[in-house]
Amino acid sequence: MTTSTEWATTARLLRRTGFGATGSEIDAAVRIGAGPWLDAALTADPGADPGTRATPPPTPAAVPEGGKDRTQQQRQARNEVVRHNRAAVTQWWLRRMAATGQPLVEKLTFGWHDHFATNIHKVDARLMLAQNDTLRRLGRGSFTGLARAMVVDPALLVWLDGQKNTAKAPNENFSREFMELFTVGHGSGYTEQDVREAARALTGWTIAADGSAHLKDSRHDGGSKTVLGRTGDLDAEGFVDAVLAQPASARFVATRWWQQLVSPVAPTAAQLASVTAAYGPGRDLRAMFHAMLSDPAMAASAGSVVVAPVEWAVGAVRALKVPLSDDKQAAALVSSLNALGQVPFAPPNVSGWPGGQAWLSTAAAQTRLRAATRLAGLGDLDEISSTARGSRIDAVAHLLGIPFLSDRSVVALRTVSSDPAKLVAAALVSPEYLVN
Amino acid sequence: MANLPRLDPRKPLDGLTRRTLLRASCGLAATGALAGAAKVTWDEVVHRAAAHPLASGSPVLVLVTMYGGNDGLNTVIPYADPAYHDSRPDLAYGADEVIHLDDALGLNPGLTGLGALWKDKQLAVVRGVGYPKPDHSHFRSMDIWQTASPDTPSSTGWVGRWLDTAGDDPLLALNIGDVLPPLAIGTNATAAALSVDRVPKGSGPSSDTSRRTTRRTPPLPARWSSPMPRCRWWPRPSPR
Repeated sequence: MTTSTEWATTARLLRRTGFGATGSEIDAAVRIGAGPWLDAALTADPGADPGTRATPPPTPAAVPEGGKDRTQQQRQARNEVVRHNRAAVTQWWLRRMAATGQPLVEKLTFGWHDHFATNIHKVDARLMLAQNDTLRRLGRGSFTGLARAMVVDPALLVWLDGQKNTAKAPNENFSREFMELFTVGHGSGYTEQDVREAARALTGWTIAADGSAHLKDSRHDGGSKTVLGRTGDLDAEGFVDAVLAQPASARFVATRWWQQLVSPVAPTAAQLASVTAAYGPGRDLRAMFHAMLSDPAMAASAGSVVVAPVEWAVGAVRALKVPLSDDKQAAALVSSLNALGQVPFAPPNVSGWPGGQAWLSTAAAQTRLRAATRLAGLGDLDEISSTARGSRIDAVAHLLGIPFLSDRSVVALRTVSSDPAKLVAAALVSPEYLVN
Repeated sequence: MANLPRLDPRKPLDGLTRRTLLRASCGLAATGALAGAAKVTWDEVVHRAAAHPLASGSPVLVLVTMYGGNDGLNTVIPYADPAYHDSRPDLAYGADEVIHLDDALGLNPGLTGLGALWKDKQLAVVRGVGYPKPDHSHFRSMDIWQTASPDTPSSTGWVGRWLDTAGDDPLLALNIGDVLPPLAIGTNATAAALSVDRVPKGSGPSSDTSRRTTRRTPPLPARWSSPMPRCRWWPRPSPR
């Protein structure tokens, strides 16, 4: 198998910024050049994408009021609506990831979801969907705008008990996680006093019946607070501005994304300086992504980023054109992802999913092979079956965007090359597909 | 022993050893490391218990970790302390409601099982466990509890470090579930992971266990037959 370095680095770029990448997608990107491809992908307008337009978000049904005075029948009916809504939005996002012609947009949206990890098992599906839209709209803009939107995001407020945070009974949960996990990082210099004062700045937000967030003056603490050295009648926006002004914040945001997109190894001081310079005082996320994805470190990072289950499964669906239009098909994909430990809208906790190598356990390997076999059985394998047996390994590597296969993998794949479904399933669980 | 999987340093990928995997995942205290540990089945555990039973009276430590946190004041209730009633006017339990431990403390009225153990002198309560300058971060706090290293992050947990010194028997410590918490990870040894996927339903081991062990098997506790959560769920703690 011979592959040019250019093809291999382009494949890496497409796979890091998407959900797998097929050989033909990589061929097309090589033709326009990786640089121009990245520029276009980072500025793409989702509204102009047929795949995005073909997968409009669902409208979750209103959930009937709960409460202890309801009959068992009413409670069951309510649970049924909640379950249906959860399934609908989860299946929708997977369909969107599979159908989009702009995988980078969805990949970054998924990355922000992991960053501002919110779970649908506590939060109404309508709020989750609204948050998802915000992450997609603002995820390539300024982090100032994104953080200001998230600090009053209805889904996040519910998730971290922000709507229970009042002047009378301040709740520091949200302010703590906002600093620790979302904006500046644990051990970056803020104190317990900062956490408490920040909680006061965030008091008074409530969620209306239509799912929108409002500041109720009577519940807001309008007194003077001091957060990270900034004193005044700080509100949510004032709090965000005080936190983002910390030099540690830019480094935190950049490092978190670097480890998702470029390398699990934290950036060197020089790399970090270059990426945070692009981020700049405007906290320009598009420029930050551009800087890290064009950094020379990308070229040296072959085989270092572990493909997480959603990326893996959606990648297989995209490459094999596995149908998802039927709810049963989509539900089966969700159930595979559940077995693999990563379902969209359901991160295990507010710090998101475990990263990297944690996915490559021996226990997960068995589950992954089952899922791969199922997906291969449902997929379109023409590209493989129509290829002569002797060239099938090259064909499957091309289909899945794998630039190089180790001798060990080739030997293993050769044993199943007579059976296209088995060959594809085996390639999906090969080290070269699981680590990019 | 022959039945048990060996703790071999298997290489899932070139250059990534099991230990690397576990170490890399350490620090993810909230989620735990995904298993790279020896996986054992219920039948293997049952077989081991039958073939090599522990000497009578051997101490067994069972750790139940409440990942969502637990309201200590609502568990062991300082019912005689006016400060408790002042700070929880709507939630406080009165002296007539709690299960009395002594003239100051009582168990939550729901904890009747623990109450009975207390009466039989089989229960001890250790209150106020902590360390200087507590870190209120939920994640760092869990790290500290699991690694017993309050000052610096550690890649090993305190059960794991004990396993490092206690010999290479993989069943010295058993984690319920595929996902090993940092607690159970040592430098060289880890707890074995008992997958809950295949815990037999009902009251006995699955059919492929030999008859000999079947007869000697105590019934499976009923609660184990229900599916356990797949991921470590972390509901948000209430404000302190």
